[in-house]
Amino acid sequence: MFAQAATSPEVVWSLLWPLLFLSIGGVLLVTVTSVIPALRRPGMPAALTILIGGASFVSTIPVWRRVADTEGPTTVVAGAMSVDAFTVVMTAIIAASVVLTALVLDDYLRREGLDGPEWYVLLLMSASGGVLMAAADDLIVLFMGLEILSIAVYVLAALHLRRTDSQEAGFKYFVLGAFSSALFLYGIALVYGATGSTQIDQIAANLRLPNEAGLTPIEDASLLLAGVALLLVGFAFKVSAVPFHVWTPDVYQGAPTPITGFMASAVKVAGFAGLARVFVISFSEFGSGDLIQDDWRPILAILAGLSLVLGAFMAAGQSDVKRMLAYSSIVHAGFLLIGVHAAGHGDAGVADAGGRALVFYLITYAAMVVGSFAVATVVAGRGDADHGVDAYRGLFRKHPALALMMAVLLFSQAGIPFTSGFMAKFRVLGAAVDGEAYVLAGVAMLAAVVAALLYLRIIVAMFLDDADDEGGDEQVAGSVRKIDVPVGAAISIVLAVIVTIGLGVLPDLGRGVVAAAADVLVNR
Amino acid sequence: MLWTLLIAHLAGIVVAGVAGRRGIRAGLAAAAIAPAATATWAISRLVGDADPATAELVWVAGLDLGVSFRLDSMALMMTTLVSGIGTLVFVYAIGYFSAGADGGVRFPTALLAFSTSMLGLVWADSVWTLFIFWEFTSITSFLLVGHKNTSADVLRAARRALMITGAGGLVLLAGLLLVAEAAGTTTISELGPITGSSASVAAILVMVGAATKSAQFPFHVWLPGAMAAPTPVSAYLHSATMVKAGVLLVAVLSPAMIDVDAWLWTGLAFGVTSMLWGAIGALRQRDAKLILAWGTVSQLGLLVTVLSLGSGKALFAGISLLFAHALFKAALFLVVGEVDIRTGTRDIAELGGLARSMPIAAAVAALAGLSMAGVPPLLGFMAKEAAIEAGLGLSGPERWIALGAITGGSVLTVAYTLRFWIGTFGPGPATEVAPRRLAMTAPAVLLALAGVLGYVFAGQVTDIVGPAAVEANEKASVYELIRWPGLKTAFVISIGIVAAGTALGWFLSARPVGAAPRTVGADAADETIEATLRFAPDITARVQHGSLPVYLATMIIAVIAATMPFFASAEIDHLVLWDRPLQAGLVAVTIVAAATGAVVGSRLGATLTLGAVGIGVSGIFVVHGAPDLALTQLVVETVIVVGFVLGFGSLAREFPRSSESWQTIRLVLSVISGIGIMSALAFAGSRPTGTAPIEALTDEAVDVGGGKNVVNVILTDIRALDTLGEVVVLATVAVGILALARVRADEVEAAS
Repeated sequence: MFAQAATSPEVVWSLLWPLLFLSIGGVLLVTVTSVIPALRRPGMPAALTILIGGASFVSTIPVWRRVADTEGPTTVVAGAMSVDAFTVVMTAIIAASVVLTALVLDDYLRREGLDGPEWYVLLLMSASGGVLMAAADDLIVLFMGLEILSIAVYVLAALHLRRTDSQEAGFKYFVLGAFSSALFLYGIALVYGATGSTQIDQIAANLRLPNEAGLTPIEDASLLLAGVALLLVGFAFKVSAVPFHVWTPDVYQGAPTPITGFMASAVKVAGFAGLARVFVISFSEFGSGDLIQDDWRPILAILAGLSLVLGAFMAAGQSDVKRMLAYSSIVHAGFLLIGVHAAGHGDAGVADAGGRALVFYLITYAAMVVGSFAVATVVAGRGDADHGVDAYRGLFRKHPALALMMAVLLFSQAGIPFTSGFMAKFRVLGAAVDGEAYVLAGVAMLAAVVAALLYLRIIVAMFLDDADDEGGDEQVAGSVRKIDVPVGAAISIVLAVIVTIGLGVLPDLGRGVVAAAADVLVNR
Repeated sequence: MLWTLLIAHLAGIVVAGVAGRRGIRAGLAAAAIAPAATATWAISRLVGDADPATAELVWVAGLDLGVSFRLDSMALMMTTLVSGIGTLVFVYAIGYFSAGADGGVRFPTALLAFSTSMLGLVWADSVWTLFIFWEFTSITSFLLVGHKNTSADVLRAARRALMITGAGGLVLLAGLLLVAEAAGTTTISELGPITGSSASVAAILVMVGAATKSAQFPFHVWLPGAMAAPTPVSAYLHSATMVKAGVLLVAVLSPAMIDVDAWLWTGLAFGVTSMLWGAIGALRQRDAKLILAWGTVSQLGLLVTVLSLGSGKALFAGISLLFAHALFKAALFLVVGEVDIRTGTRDIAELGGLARSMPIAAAVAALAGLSMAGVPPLLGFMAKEAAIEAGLGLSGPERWIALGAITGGSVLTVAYTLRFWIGTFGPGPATEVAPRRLAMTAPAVLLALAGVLGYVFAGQVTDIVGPAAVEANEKASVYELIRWPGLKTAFVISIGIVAAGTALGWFLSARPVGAAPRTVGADAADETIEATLRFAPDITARVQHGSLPVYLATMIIAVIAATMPFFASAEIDHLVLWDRPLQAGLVAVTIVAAATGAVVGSRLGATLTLGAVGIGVSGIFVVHGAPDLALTQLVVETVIVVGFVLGFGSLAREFPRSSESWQTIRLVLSVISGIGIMSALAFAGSRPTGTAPIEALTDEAVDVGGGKNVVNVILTDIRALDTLGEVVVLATVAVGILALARVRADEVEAAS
């Protein structure tokens, strides 16, 4: 690795546009808005952010052409970052969730009487960190991405000044997050000690026998495994897998709702992107004798099982929708972990199925969760506190379109056929069954049933429990808050629903994309 | 054609929704079109003797996941029932609901959506398709049961139905996948006989799945509760169609299960207990609708018993019974709904004398009831006769079990049918009745007459049920429905059944009606669901209490548990106590400072001891020959201490007091963490591998960076990108602080 760095590395900037748009966009946004007051007016920062996020999203297309179609995967900046199909897909998801979040955030900030470009700056910064994480080809770069991503989100979580919940959320997230980052860093050090490299490909190469560094991995197994365990702790924290999930409900509930949506989508996607890349590429071998993944896959299976069971059971008892969604994000983390688990399987066919399931799940999950939190933002109304199931009672009568959209998103989260969530769960479970992880698949199905109960509770409240029929309509109309759906939120929700139904009915749509992205992980 | 019909149904749902805005009757009328067309088409095919129609839509090619339909004889018969009875129910509902009733959009669309799902289920030719539509029927029926959502009881009943049938669907899926695995195909019509232990497991799973849907004991508890639904729904879902899904499945899968003993015995266990327990339940009820509901449990038990026998004769009998049951049970429910609407009650203790005031309804109930009781000249008689024949044709222990159950169950059936009719229409003080509604009467009459016509045209009915039975078992082709068997064993048994049942029914009808019993088991099912819901917050409250220190403690414990095993394998031989004695002194200072910081009561004291720890560590860096690193560390420590002190302005001087036990926990945790980190370092240090990178780094620093300060060269050249990244991190921190500072400023502003 040092030899490569010896000459000043050539940087293929054109492959970095998606990342550069986000990071430079963020820096520029903070600069221009402090210099030009006109750009600080409500709406302007949001518009600029949507523009920047959109540019980043669009710029993934030419990059995709190059890395997936013409030139093949490549690394940039002296092997610091990989630009490949997987990176591009994850980047696109993160950029899209920036746009969707900004759409919701604008009206939210006006409604709550908050404003300021720093929300958007932090959003863009965080997204750039996420992209860096997804692209990182080096553990240190990955850690940097993690830091940029996390620090911005810590602050965002605390930024609702009128709610102490929000500040508490930010503080908790910060303390616990800093702790897990420290562990992650220590894990990197141990892995470096054991393998002699921090570069993802190089680690994998050094683990193959006989390796360049003259190391014999088997002798170092415990040092390496300790490092792997600590890395896993860091990732598990970011993706909120049990038992490193403790922060999730409090932070998801306390944070401003659009930000929660961003955390649940972009942050989790970035976490899983990093996790998959490091574990499936660095710590997996296919078809050789001593498989290192035999050591971490059982741990991953335990994390997945715990997340599924505890997440589902704790979610079932919630009466606060935002908190419910927080627990359900833990359940989703469990499903995604099954995907990673399968992607690390020694059999290339199973690994391929697992990788595809994982990528597909991430795409669909990001869409449905952003949409769900957008609806929660709208329903909660001014103050961002009214998230109880009661707030959803009779929503269908008050706002049929909104209720239907929410129903689609929740059905998808529950995994009902003809929504993307079904396909995602189906593929993950299929991969698990292929890999003969029957117990895990069984636990996942059980958790899915319990979790379905909680989504149905919300749906039932929306459709059946019309607020007290006997009370007379006029009275009810007077007492129940009217629900306005701002344009930005509406666009965001509709887009999320389109993706959810689109990929649910025609899951083959993104087939090539998913296959190419998974291929990067599994067939390096 | 199947696609056309399916699309017509989907379009019908939309149209019904639009029409429903103008009132529930318009919505129902619009919704009836698609089922009517389907029923017409199905009947024309029944008459025309066409080949099976198939339709397939590959959904995800790579995953063997698609929607595939196949309209064979069985599916055609079921389509006729689903759409035919469906059409009649829609017409009936127009009379049932008053013009201004609520739910004009919701009810017709949900009912048609159910009808569509049911067709999909009946047509399904792959296990996936079957599962999808199976779950759809659960969901749509949930919406229909919860239609009258005014009381908590109704919602509880709806939820119970959904939970049991929905969970059953998952069990079924597991079973179907095992079947598919064993048979090597997911196409239902291609399933061959399966064997082995996985076949037994599959048989039990599938049977359990079927039992949940077909309300078999002990899963029957949802069915009486579901009677909270409007009567058209009960008539359609809970007698004629949805509950038949499980029975249908038993018939369809019987070719695959022909050699599996577990199939027979599980089926008999469910069927026999349900048949008897359901009939006893029906005898204890006083609500006419609940009598019929419990009767349905019993009848479905009969169907499961007969179909799980698996012989050609049994399948022929079972499918004949299924056909007959759909007709008479729908008719009976429709009559009960009419009674309910016209008198305002369904309690047989209050009702009486309706034979005079509602003669048509009484006649319909009598015809349908006699068909249910198995009395000639009606379709039900021929079907039951076939069932007894099937029982007689068996050998081994199942012969006696099946015969005994069929006979016993049938006696009870005759008894509760008689009790139902006498209680509702028989002698007694005449109940006041509202005028007749044609839309309600006509469908019931048609269904009741179908029972008579079925007897008259026994040959034609055989042509319908025969091929369906042949698809399940080829040996069924030799059987036919017989109008008058003559004095054979089966007929003698039939006569005995009717005689005994009539006596029992007469006796019970004469007795005063007692209070209706609670559904045994329903409470248990609700309890389970609610206990889960209660239990969940309990554990949540324990695990998720909101305390940051406890969260941190949880994570520390998890990390220690995860990594300790590796660290325990440190090699002590490699370790030396210290390089220089000065290190020991510095470490001692550091330890004392750390320990003081842990116990000191004031915030300022804690901060200062923290600073002291940092200085101790810097000292160790100096001893190791890294003065620049030590300086950096010192600066950082100083800034941190200053930052803390500044922050104290708005805090109390002392830490809040905490409980003894919590202090103990903290103490233990911090000692363990300390030991953990120490052993981690010892472990990492004790296993030098490969060559230390120091030489490579030194050379590199000179060659690449042209500098002799290795650390500097690493930061500015070798890992320049990372340094840039850290600058971005700092920028992010700066923006964050700016944002938080603005929050603070705004707060001050708001306060003043």
